Amino acid sequence: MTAPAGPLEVLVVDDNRIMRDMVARSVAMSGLPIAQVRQAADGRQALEALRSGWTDLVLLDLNMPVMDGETFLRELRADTALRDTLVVVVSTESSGARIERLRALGAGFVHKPFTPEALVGEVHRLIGGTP
Amino acid sequence: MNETLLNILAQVSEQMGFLTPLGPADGAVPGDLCIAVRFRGPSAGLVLLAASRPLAEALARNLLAIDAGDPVADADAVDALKELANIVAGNCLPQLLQDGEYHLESPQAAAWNAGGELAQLSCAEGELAIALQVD
Repeated sequence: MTAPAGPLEVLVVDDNRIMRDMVARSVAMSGLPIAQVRQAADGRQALEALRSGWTDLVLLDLNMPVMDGETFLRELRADTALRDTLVVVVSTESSGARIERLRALGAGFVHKPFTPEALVGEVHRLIGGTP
Repeated sequence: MNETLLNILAQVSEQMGFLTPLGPADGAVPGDLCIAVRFRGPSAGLVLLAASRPLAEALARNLLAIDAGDPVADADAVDALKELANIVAGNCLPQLLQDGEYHLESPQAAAWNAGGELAQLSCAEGELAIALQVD
């Protein structure tokens, strides 16, 4: 995965619209260079959004209807056009085994409840920059 | 009163909901709104989160940055409480039940049903109650 060259095109994926708004606000106020923040309510919608427009960074919930976050992540990594997209999972997940599986798929992880600083720090870690 | 459940409820309410926990409450369970989160994994069951209307409105204001003078829609209050219930449930299961991978279903409006492990929290904005029930 390579660091984006310009302002980030971000996709927030969560089935709760309030959490999508919160994550989107955290990103917008983070100091990260942001071009646009789009939203999707499940993994299937997220794949459609990724295929319809360029996305640098996906902020991903796990427990969602239609397609959960882990299934989405596996489909993303299997798609040659999308596989290098940066992904940070934002979830209440506490299972070490599941978090390791997500990291093995190249995803960052931020535990809910999260602070905006933790979210930005994980994005910087993935991109390879300094907060 | 389950102390672990109370502490998780207070921590998540403060960190994620920007509410002001005051301590345990021992009055009647707030009956205005109730959300259920069903889970399965090493154990299966239900987490119920009940809130007073003022607390749910304050939560929605905090999460959606709604101005103090503006009204809070019912749907916003319910959705805000759903997200709080989801985060509390995700955090309490591995601490109170067997550790492992849990799948949480989408939170749904429900009726309060006392049983299982219970905790009640008083906040400056209103009251919260939680129940963890294993099938």
